[in-house]
Amino acid sequence: MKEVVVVSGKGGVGKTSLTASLAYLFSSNNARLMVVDTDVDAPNLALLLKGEKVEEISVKASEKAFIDYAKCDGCGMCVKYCKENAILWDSKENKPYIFDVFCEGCGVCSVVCPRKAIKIELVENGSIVISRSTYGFLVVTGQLKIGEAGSGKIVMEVKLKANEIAKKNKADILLVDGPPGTGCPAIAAVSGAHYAILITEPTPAALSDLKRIYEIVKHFQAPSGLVINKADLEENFKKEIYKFAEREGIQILGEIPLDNAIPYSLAQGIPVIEYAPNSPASKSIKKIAEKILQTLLGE
Amino acid sequence: MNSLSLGGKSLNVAELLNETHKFNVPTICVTGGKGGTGKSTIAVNLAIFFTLLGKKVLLADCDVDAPNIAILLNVNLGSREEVHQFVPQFNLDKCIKCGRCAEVCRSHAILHVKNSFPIFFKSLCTGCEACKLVCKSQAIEEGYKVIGWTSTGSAYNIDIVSGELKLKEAESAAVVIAVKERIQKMLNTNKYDLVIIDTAPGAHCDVARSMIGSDIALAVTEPTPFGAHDLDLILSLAERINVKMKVVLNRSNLLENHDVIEEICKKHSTDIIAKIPLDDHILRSYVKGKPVLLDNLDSPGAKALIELGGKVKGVLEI
Repeated sequence: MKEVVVVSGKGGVGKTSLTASLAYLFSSNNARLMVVDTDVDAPNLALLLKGEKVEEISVKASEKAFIDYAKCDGCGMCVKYCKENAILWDSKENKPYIFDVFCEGCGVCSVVCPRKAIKIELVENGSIVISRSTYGFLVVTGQLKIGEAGSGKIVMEVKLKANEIAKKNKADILLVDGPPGTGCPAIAAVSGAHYAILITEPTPAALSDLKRIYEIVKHFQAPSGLVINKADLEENFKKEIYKFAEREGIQILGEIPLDNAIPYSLAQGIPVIEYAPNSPASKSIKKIAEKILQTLLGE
Repeated sequence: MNSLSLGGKSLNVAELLNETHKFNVPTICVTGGKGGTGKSTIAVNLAIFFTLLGKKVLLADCDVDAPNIAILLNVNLGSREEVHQFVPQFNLDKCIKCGRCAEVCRSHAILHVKNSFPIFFKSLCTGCEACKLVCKSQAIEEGYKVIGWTSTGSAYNIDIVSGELKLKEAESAAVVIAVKERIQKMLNTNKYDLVIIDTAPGAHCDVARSMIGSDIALAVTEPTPFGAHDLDLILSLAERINVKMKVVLNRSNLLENHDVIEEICKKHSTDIIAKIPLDDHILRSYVKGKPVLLDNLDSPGAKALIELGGKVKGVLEI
C-alpha cells in the first residue's frame, strides 16, 4: 500500500479540491482506495465526498491541569510558572483559574504547587469519524475539538486508525489530505508518506509557503510531485515556481488552469471532476491523476 | 471530579483573560477558520484603509506557520529577535541520579534508568522547565534553543510585526505569544491608533491566543459548504473565549444564495458585516504585492473593502 499526502503550506490553494477529484478518479480506475482528512482544524473532505458516518471514535490525546480548590491556599506559584499564560489570578477571590484552551498539560503547575492541589488529567480533544463516501470508498476524518491543542497528536491517531483499516481492506492507496501550515499537524501528516503531492498557485505567498512545506517533505525523504493550481493567474510569477521545482528536482505533475468550474463546483459541494468532467480544469486533473498512478503503481 | 472541574465558570475565566490580554488601543483580529479565504488580504487592506484615514496602524502577522503579510506588502522585514524555548542543560557533576526530572517530564523527553544519569531527547522537550524546578541538586541549568523569530518592518506608513516558526519546530504557541509581546513593546515606544492581527487558519489554541483581547474579530469566509462548516467552528471558538465576532463574506458572488451562511450567523447571534465580491483586481494586486486599495480604488473589490472598513470603524467607534 502507498500512502500519499497532499500538502501546500498555504491554506486555500486547492488541497481538498484536488484530493477529492483524485479520489474520484483513482477509485473509478479500480484502485482500492482509502481517503484520510488530516486537516483536523477544519476538515472538509468528507463534505465534498458526501460521506455518510459509519463510526465515530473519541480521542483523548491532550492533557489539562485541574485545580482542587479544597486544597488550594492561593499562593500563586502555579500562575508564576505557567509558560502558556493559561493560569489567571483572580485578585478578588485570591484564587488561580485555569483557562483550559491555553493549557497544554505540561504539568509544571502541579510540580510547583506546594499543596499538591493540581492534577493533570487526560481529556478528550478530538474524534475520528469514519464515513463511507457516495463513491464507495471509506473516508477517515480527524476532528479537533474547538480551541484545543494537540492537533499533531490527533493527526497521528487518525493516520494510525486509517492505516489499520486500509491494511485490513488491502487498500492500494491511502490518500491523505493534509492540513495547511508547516507546524506540528503538517509534520505529522507528512511523516510516513511514500509520496507527497505538493500543490501551489503562482503567487508570492503560496511559493513562500511551498518552500517551507517542501523542507518538511525533504526531511522525511518522501519523493514528491508538484501541481500548479490557477496556473494562468500570473504567467510571469509561474516561472518562479518552475525555477524552484527545477532547482530542487521536483517532478512537475501538471498545471490546473484558472477555471470557474472549480469555485462553482465547490459552492455546490461536488468534486469538479464529477460536476464538470469536460471542463479544462477536470481535463488537467485527469492527466495529473494518470501521472500519479503511474509513479505510484508503475505501468 | 466535580470539584476539580471549571466547566461552569469558563466564561468568567475568558472575560478575565480578555481583560488581561487587551492592548490599550483598539484591536481588530482577522481570522476565518478555513484557509485561503482572504484573511491576510483583508487584514492588509483594512490597514491601508485606516492609514488613508490618517490613523497609525500596527499590523501583526500571527500566522507563524505560514506568515504572508510581509509578502503581500512586498516588504523586507528586519530587527529580527529570536524566540527561545527552555532546554535543560544537565550538569552531571551535580546529578545524584534520583530520577525526579524524568518522573515529572510529561512529554517523555527525559529517560531515567536506576542508578544512571538521565538521558535527554531534545526533540520531545516542550520547554516547560518542570525538570529544572524539581531537581534537588541543581544539576539542571538553564539552556535554550531558537524555535522562531519575530521581526518588524514598515510599508505604506503601516508598521508591521511578524512571527515565524522555525521549520520542524512544534511549539508555535510560544511564537504567537512572542508576537503579542512584541506588539506590546512597540505600543510602549510608539503611538498607534489601531492594532490589526492576522491569524493562522483553523480553530485551534494558537488562533484563540491570537484573537484573545481583541475588541472585534472578523471571520472571513466564502459562500461554499466548506466556508460554512469552518465558519461554524470559528464562531464557536469566539464564543468560548468571549470575543465579539462579525462575518465578512468574501467571494460573495460565487453563489447567489447565502442562506447557509446567514443561518450559521443567526445560530451564533452575529451577522455579515460586509460582502466582498470575487474581483480579478484583488487577485492581481495580491500577486503584485500592492494592496488593491492602493492599486485600483474604483474596482468593485476595493469599493467593498472600503465599505467594510467604514463598518469596522463604526463598530470600534474610532
